Amino acid sequence: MLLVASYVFYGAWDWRFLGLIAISTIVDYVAGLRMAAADGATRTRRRWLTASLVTNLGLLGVFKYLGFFLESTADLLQFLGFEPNIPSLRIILPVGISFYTFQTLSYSIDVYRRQLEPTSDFLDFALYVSFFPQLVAGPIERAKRLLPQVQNPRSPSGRDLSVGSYLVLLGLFKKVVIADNMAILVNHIFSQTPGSLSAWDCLVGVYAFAFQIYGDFHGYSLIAQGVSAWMGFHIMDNFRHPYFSRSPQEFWKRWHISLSSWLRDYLYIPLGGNRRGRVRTYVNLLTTMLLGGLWHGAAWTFVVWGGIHGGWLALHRWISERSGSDPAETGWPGRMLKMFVTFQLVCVTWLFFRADTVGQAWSFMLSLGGSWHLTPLSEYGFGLIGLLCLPMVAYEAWVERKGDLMALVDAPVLARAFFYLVLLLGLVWLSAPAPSEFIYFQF
Amino acid sequence: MLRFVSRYPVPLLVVGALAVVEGGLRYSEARLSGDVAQIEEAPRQVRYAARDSGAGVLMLGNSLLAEGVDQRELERALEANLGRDVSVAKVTPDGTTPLEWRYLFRKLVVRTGEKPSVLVLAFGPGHLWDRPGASQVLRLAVHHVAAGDVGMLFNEELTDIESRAEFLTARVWRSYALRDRIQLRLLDLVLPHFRTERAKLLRRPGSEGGSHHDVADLRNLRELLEDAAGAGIHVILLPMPAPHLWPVEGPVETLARTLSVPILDVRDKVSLEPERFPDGEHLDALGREAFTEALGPQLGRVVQSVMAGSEVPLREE
Repeated sequence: MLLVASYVFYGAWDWRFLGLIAISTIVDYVAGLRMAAADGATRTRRRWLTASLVTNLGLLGVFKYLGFFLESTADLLQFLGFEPNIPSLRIILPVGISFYTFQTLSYSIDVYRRQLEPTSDFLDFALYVSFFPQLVAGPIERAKRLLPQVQNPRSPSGRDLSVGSYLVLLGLFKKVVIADNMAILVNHIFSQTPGSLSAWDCLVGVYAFAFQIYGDFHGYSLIAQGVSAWMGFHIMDNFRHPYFSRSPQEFWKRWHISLSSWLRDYLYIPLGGNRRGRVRTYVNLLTTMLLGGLWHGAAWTFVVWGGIHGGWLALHRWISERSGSDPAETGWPGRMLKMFVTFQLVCVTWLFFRADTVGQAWSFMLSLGGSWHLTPLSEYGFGLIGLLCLPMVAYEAWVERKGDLMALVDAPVLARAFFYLVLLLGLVWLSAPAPSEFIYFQF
Repeated sequence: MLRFVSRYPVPLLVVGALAVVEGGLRYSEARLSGDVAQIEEAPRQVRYAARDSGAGVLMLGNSLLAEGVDQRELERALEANLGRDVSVAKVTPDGTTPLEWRYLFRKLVVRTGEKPSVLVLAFGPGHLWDRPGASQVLRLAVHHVAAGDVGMLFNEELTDIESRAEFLTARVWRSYALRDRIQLRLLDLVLPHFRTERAKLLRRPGSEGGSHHDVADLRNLRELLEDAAGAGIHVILLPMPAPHLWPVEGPVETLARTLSVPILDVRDKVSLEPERFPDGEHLDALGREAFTEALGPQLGRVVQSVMAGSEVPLREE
């Protein structure tokens, strides 16, 4: 039933791409069983792992990156004085392909590493790959966690229902009220020539995008978690108040956790992690983040975004090693300062993430060194950010202090009722006049 | 019952609070917006125009008409001109076009049988075109559409499930239906430059440029004119003044000619300087007085002709 629902859900967008998800599913299902059957035969196991990697990364390569690489090659050849005759491809990116290929790859790799017993039930495995709440934008669930939940009978408890309702409501609020309102501001500012904007305008655009992408992606993840909870599934937390981070390392432990932990386990550690010397560690960090950036989208802006994060992680690690202590460990004024600085640096990286080109991002950076005068746009923008985002930040600070993401579910009845009422009325009265698509659907 | 309450206290508290908010909004709706108060006044206006004694003139339009014509002055001018008792009524919900006028006309006139002698449709530049996707679903749901016309609206205008769901939700839940007005009130109060900046941000690139229209884009106007003809009511089209003289578009003239509806254009009978439009769109008190003065005798002549059944030139200037 859930499998059919998941395929109908995905097929409703474009039924032709059901074939891709089916191919990934079949290849990894067979690869899992063959690797287990090969037991001691390392070459056979490696051959089946390679088949899984080639199939999944091949699909991703063709549908997501081929056009970009051909275009970039043509640009390079042109720059070198050649006249390339490379056709430009217009390939539709299948929604969610980056998420489900990584999810199914983790299964094959875990089976290869003997960290997971493969399942012999094809339908269970197919549901694990295509589970509709998190199919198109994650969280990227590991088989170790989700597959047993698929295989065993579930009966949602009363708490599952209330946790699910809390998550769905909060997720909707984050998306419809925060992200979509910020999107209108961001789209306007990023469609202007930076020269026509004051430095405050640019700053509003950057901050608004920081809250847009957080509200948008966290909102989706919460809705996915909540809907899953209603059905008795427990999906991982994908965010843990990332803007309270005090270092880049901490940021990546709190932001898009399912991807950052995937990159750590299946890329950074296999590359050698921090076990092969200082320089190699920095190179590994940079490589991992560059590929993480490229995972987000086939564009140089994402590569630069990943590169800056990689460089920042390496630099922070170098400073930590030189000072001999974790720079995040200080008193509360120091912690606040570090939180502030980390947020500002994260915002700088968001500039590259949001810009259409690296050139545009750079122009915005230069505009920040320009004229600092408040305009009606910046006053309105800061007002809107303050009105919609700051209460959410204050709420998250309270949750952070409690140390439990579900603190509200256990709060007193009146507090809960008040919170839900505010969310509901906010959804009705403060929703954006023009909705926008989830950002991560394009990845 | 007690067990139910003790088991689900949070949902019950939330639903209870929402019910209180809903009741409060329904009670104070008219105070939330002058436009709502005006719409609530509409049935009384229509009844006034449909009085048995004398001639009844119902003027239907939007804020251009609301600000542009003095109802009482016009009534006096028409009475003097026609030499008989005249009732002039104005129904002018904000930001409306023939889509809303058509359903409002059906609800207030066709379905009630309260028929004025003449219907004057006042419009500004581009106001008569159908605007697919831009229809004000929330206001249609609450104010403009009679229950018996919902099927027609679904067949002709709200053809997708999303807009139908929005319509039905707004129909039963006033907190939802009034969300645009509440948001406007709330954000205008706390955000600097809210109205101007929000309007700027929501303007689509290229939307300033004129687009090509033809008679097919006047479907709601045509239906409205046909409904009025079916009810035996004479219609007059009245272009309203703007800071710059704007032409009545060719397809509008064509449709008016086809349905024998006169266009009464008195804009060149009165000199209205741009200063008379302080917000760049609506007339001020002096402008309203001048325009009403110019309109009175001209409208009187046309009303007399249409009510006498004599031939009226289709373009009255």
